[in-house]
Amino acid sequence: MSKIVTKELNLWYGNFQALINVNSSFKEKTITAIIGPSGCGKSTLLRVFNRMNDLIEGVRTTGEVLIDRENILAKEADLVSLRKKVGMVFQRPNPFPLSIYENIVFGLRVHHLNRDKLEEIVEESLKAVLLWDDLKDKLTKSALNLTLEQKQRLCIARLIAVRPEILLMDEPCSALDPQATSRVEELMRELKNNYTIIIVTHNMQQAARVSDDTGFMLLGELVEFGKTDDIFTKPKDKRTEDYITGRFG
Amino acid sequence: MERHLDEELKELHKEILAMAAMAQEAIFKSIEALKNRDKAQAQGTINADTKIDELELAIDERCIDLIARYQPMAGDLRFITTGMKINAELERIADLAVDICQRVLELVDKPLLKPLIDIPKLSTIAQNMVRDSIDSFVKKDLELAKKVVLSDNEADKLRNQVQDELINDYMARDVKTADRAVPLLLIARHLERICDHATNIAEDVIYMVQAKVVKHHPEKLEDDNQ
Repeated sequence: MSKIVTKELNLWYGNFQALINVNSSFKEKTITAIIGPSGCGKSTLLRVFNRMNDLIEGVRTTGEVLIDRENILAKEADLVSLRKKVGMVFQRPNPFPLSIYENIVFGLRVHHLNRDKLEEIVEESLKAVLLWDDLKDKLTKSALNLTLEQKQRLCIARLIAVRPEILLMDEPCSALDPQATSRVEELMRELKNNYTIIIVTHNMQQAARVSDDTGFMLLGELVEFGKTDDIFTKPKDKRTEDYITGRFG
Repeated sequence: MERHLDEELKELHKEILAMAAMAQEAIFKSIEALKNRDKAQAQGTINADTKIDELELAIDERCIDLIARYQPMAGDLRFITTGMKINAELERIADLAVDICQRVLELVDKPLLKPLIDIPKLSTIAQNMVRDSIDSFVKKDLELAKKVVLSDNEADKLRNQVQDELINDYMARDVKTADRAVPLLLIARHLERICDHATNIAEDVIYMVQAKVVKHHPEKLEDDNQ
């Protein structure tokens, strides 16, 4: 079942068109990777899904983005509930300069959610990202002293605490070493059981390893979208083949 | 943009062609040894198989190395995995040529049971199929690969004909002919197996070029011809 559908989606930064007529469908509880060279529009597309681009001056969009069949680009769309439903993980982990505990409950406090169950949710969220055993006795310590991998997991736990349905991940492993990358990928596979995940990555092997579907973008267009197995063994479009085999450029 | 991987793939291509040339030579010599009742040629072909085995291992190692170092995808991945499969098929073809030579050694000191007519015909089909399957690999020629796959029936038919004749016209009538008929039966079987391996190569070529699996699905080949 489709969780996110884009129809004739176009986006301009001023006069520059960053997304051109993007039609796509992201399945529920699957991992979809978006790949493509720098500047192709993949992060822009990701940011459309929780309307992060609204924060940039001069952005204009046309078309539709349906999440659970509701157009999130509509004027009446509720951005607060959208951003609760659609969480985002960035390249470099960005914990707040607060304790581990406060990082996780931050979203709950902002959204005035489950105030009587904070401790329970902290435990659940840390368990979901496999940090509970390591951090259960250090919850009052600063999150800034964690390792990079732990920080990234904490940021994911912070999202999970507000019970989102979609996780957007923009190069979530680019600051991590291979072992930490592998563990975060394992975590993504676990999370897939409950969340719809979209990951933007430059690492083609990562896209091939972790995703169910893959979209290839080039110069603002979604050139090819399909099952990851097909995209990496028998892409239909020559531009996709050239990119994933390193001939592009 | 020329990539370093392209150089490596060219080397792999060259090695597979060398392997193909050695396997084709082995079949040719095994049939010549049979026709000419040439013990030395049969033994020489058996001895030469070690070189083919060594090259098979070298090609396999190169393919595994390329996968580990370059993590190839799409067309590159299909070329390398197909290369590995073709390599194994060629090694089996050369082994079957050795099997033929061993049958020749069993036959060579005994009087000829009958003039060889269908076996040379079958050997011509086998050699043509191996040649065409390798040509289809070199030229990435889908039509030629399909032709090889479709010609396998002819080889099966001829093998059955040889089998019926040897069993019904010779062994059933005079059991004493068995020691000369059985090696000929086996040679027909070895040649037919060579045709099967050539078919496998052609099917692998179709996958490499078109990313379409026709192995075990001959109807897919026919879909394409419509």
